[in-house]
Amino acid sequence: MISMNKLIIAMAIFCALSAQTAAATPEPWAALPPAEREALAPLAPQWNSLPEKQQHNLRILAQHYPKLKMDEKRRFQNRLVTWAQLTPAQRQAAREKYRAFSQIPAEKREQVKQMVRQNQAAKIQQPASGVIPAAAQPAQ
Amino acid sequence: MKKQSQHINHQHIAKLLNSSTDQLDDSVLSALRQARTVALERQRVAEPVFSLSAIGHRAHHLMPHSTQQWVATTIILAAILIGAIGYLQDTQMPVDMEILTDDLPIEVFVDQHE
Repeated sequence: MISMNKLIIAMAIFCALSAQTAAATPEPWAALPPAEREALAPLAPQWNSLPEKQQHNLRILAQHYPKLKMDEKRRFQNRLVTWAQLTPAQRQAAREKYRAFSQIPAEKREQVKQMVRQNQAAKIQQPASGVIPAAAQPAQ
Repeated sequence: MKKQSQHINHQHIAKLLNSSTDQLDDSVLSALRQARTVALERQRVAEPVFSLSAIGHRAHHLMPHSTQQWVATTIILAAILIGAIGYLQDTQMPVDMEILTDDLPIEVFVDQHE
């Protein structure tokens, strides 16, 4: 009976350890599945130097990549390097802001999006010299 | 006497019974046959029936009894819980993905000065 108890405890410890180690296992870029490499392609040069936890999180994102629409895939890959270069604190702050933004009513959210689009359009129209065209300058 | 009774086998008993029944009247024999038929018809066959008490009885055997068993059970349940949380985290669309694919630029949510 004692040996049975020891066996149960050994199995339990094995289960706990395997659950823990399965959570974050470092994987070199060359060992990633082709679908994940396609999704994470912009990160290929720095992949092997990324922390294990970050690799794990990015691989979870890569699993959702095939389900994205074309424009979402484009945005995802364009933003991936910027996202990976942020500090964990910056990423966490961004998540909290995004969650807060998601909770405001849809109408207000759309207003904010509209404002951001207008702001972006104004930045694009603004020449590199920083001189605002006369037509775009506010009347004084 | 005791030894003699031990030597009596089943076939011998059957012979004795047959010879004794031969000596019975026909009316007695027919009454015995009828009684046997009725008894067979009324015979109740015991069948296993599902009951809650049976579950409780079996559950009692499955419950841990010693401290070691309790510890092992707790570790197994914790491992299952951790695994389930990990699975849910992996299958749900993470907020990171929403930030990276939203039509709002990432700079809206990221504070570059932190």
